[in-house]
Amino acid sequence: MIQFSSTFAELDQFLSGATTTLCVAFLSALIGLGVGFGLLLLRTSRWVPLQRLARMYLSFVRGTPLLVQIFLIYYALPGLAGIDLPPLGAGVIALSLNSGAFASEILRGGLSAIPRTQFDAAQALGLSRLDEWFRVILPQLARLVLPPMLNELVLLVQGTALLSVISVVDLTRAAQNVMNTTYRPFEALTVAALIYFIGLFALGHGTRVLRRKLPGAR
Amino acid sequence: MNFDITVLTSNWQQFALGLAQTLFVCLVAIPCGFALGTALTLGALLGGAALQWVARAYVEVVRNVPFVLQVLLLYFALPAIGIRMGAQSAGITALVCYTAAYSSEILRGALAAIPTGQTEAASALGLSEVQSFRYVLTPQMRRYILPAAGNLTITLVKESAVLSVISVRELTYVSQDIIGRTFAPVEVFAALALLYWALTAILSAAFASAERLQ
Repeated sequence: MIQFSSTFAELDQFLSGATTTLCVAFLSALIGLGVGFGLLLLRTSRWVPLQRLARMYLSFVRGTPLLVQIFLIYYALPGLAGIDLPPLGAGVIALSLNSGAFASEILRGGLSAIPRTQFDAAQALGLSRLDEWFRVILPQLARLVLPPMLNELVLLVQGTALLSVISVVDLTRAAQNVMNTTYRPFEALTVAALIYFIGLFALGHGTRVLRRKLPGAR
Repeated sequence: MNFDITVLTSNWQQFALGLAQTLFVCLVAIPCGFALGTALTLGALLGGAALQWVARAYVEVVRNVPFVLQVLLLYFALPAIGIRMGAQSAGITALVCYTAAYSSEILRGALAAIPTGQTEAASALGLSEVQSFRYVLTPQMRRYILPAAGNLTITLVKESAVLSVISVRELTYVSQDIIGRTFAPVEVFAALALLYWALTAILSAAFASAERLQ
């Protein structure tokens, strides 16, 4: 018999789990953006070993499961570096390092779509290096990369669900906790799935609308 | 910290069993998923508005719910409505459903990428719908499908690690098991990551050469 009443009684657990999921995703997206810019610098550096390092990193992140990356940071890093990380910290680091790789790909794609003449024009106008980037290139880059970055955010939110495995109480873990106290796995997991679906579908739909509205965006 | 290689050498059989299980799960789930995805796209294409809506809804649900949660749903929630599966069957089913949704998207995208003039030209030449699909659309779609299918296959091999959560004895589960006995997370997880890395590198090289061949 399907019966949601005991599950709905635990709604605050779902909401606090969803809040954790959101915070972790946004924080990881922000740090990931920084990691992405860092990787982009390495990849465009003139020093070949740095380029190789960046390529190795990208290949590793894309070639191994996110779950294994989370385990590496949470269980193996303490043994390697002697630092003990709480689950939440390890989770944010793992997700940031992961999303950074994908962010750098998006940034690279966006940058290659900006015509060379924009750089030339900025220089011809006598803009400083800093003004060239902040006033000419980055505003255009932001438009180009916003839609794919938002798509990446959808994947990142889904990635946060894996942190439940290292006992971060996100939405997925909250659902498991509710399922263990109410003995109603169907109801608890369905409610969590519905919350994810509504949030992520809305985000995806917003991205599609944005794509149409932003001139020059892909 | 010293890296104790004997942890790996003395447990290589477990690793091999886990790897075999990962390969087995993927080899069963991926072809079934691609077949189901193809059926989904063709069904939506030929079956009218209602079927199209169902296919669309299915794809959106799978794409907007985390894969772990889908796995947990199949394993823990379905028994409540009378569908009981072992961990392995639930895991394979989850992978099949996931593959079906994403591969149907790939196919849909490939179909949409071909100009309608091609279908029109085919019917103007007197080809039947099946002939037009077989001789005009399929050869052109291959160009779009192969790279995307390669990426999807690699993603799926990686996602299969998530099945460890419901105790499918694949590579990641076996590694955690070994750590439980040896207390050597650094060695075992490093080996685990390298194994996946090698596996996905082989796959991407294979797909790259397949793309060159066509």
